[in-house]
Amino acid sequence: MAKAQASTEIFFAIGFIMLFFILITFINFERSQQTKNIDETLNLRDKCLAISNAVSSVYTKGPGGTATVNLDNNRATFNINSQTLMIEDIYSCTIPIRDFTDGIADPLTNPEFTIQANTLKLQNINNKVYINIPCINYPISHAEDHNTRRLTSQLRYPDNIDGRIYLSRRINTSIQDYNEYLVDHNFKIAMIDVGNACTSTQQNNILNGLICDQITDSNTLPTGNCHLYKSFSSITQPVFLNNLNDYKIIIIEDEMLPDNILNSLESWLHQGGILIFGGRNIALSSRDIFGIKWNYQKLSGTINVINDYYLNPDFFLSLGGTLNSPASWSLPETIWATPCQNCIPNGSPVAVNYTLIGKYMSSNKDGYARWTYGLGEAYLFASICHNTDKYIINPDRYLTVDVGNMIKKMIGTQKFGYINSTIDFEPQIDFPLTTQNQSSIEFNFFNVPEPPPYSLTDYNVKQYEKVGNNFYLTGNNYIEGLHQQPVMLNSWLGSSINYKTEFIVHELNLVERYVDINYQDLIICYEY
Amino acid sequence: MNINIKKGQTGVFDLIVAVFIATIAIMALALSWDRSISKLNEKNEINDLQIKLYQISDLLITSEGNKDEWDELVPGENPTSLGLAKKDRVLYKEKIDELYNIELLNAGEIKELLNIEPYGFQIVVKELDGDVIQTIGTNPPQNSRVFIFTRYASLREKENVANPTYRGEPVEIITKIWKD
Repeated sequence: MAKAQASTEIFFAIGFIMLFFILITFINFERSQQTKNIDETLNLRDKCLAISNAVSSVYTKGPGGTATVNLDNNRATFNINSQTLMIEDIYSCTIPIRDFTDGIADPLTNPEFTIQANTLKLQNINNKVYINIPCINYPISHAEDHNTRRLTSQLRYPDNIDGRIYLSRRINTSIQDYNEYLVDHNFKIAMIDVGNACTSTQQNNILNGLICDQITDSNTLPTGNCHLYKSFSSITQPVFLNNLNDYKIIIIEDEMLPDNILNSLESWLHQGGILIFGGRNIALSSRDIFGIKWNYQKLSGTINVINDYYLNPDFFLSLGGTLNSPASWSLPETIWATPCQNCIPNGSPVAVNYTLIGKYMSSNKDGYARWTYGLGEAYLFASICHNTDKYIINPDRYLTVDVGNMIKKMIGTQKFGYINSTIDFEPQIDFPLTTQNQSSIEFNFFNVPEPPPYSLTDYNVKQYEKVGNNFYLTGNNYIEGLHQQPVMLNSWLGSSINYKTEFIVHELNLVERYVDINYQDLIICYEY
Repeated sequence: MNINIKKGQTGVFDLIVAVFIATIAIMALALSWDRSISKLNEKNEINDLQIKLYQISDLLITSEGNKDEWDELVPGENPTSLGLAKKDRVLYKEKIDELYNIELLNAGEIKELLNIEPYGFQIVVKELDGDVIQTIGTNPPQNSRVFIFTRYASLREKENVANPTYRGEPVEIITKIWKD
């Protein structure tokens, strides 16, 4: 009986203890749950406040301001009208501005938007905060052209202003194979020496390295890109006049040409050809042609390069000598020169920028000169291939070699300009960013010449990226009109991106070329 | 046998006393816990208010608002965001005056734009010598807990104002916020 009583008490005690522990367990569970909830709420609160702060901060930073906030794959619901942000439908906080969007939402029709992502990327574009739009437009912070003219404001997006750059002449001195270059750029040269005034050595000096085909009477279509006319019958054949407009340079030495050819040549020069005319008469009597008056005078003696030539060197023609010791040539033959002193042409148009290069010392008449005529340029030499074209002071140097070098420069002439742009840029290196197709620098350019008759290879856009102090070619494209050109950038490090866009027209004439650039902002797309 | 019965009674009694003490201890712990939670919530609320205060102050002093010339909007047009600045920490007197007018005409509009409807707020713009230039909003109630954030900026009037009083003088901007 006593044992039975003791057992009841023990059961009672055990039951009580169990009940107590169940209570303790329940309380513990409830508190743990509460702790977990508090922890979760605090975590969401931190996120909510961080996002709210970031929105406010990016807005107050002004256009261009950016920020990144971790969302850890939580769901954030923004409401523009109520200026609220709700994280996971649990924690809500307020945003002090209304100017935020995901690029789609707007206060009138669709004020709420939800984003679930690991990270939120915020950026201020025109005083509106854009949240997690995939592509970011980085405006240009500085842009200048090849003449160091600032174009920053014209090239910024968005605007309705174009930045215009005028292309300048420059000479490509790195041509490896001139014959190939002539073919690539559909560049044709003719040399007319019907009277064989030039020796073969002098001719080789003038056309140095060029493979030239001699045109015969039977040629209907000349082959190659350099043509030699060495007989009067060849020059009077239709083949010459039929191909005249394809020639960029014509060299004529010591020829008296018929009127129809002279008139055609004048028209060709005016349209942009380059005429290099050497010595003797051009016609039987004085006449106005090529924009100047050709005086029919018989002179001989020494020609000296004048001081002005050394003070203002010619773009193509490099003669030896110096200001104190000018280059000179003795012309032992009787040379028919065509000086143009006080030249007053009867016709129109007239020569422009007539520049004396060398003159006869005895008679003070013009021996060497250059001028422009319409879109073309003319160089006059009293003689290129006289018996000895050696310099008097420097007898190892020859005028024919100088003329040859001048022709090489003319072949390599380009119209060139570039925009050098800098973009302040803070790469979001934590996220994959696209460097191809989506990331692009966009520009339009206008007023390029219409091919044909020019080759497409005559017009290039080259894009370079500056890494350290060096520019690396990232794109080389032929252009054909209005363009939007993607740009591949390789280096995303550093605080800015510097790139250069070159515009090249392989053209010898004097047509003014320019490029209108609409905008060149950098658009980079991220994967968040 | 009696001795044994007494031992059993004593054991149960001890147990009951122990459980009673433990229950009281647990209850005390629970109360303390709830109090901590309450304090934590209160602290969070204070922090939230301070953050709001900072955001509002920063917004007003560093941004132009939207539209940027919102002080010149015609009646019927409303700004979407407020800002008193011409640029960072350079304030326009005209915008401050317009904010004062908005507050006079419609006391809730500024709170609505700043999304602080449940709270009271006041902005005081003062010269450094203490002269008050403008007070926007009502004074906080006597016994309320007020959070104050003071910042400095320069004050100027718009370019088209003839003989402006302010040409970039430093001023003190005191932003106050409290729970109504």
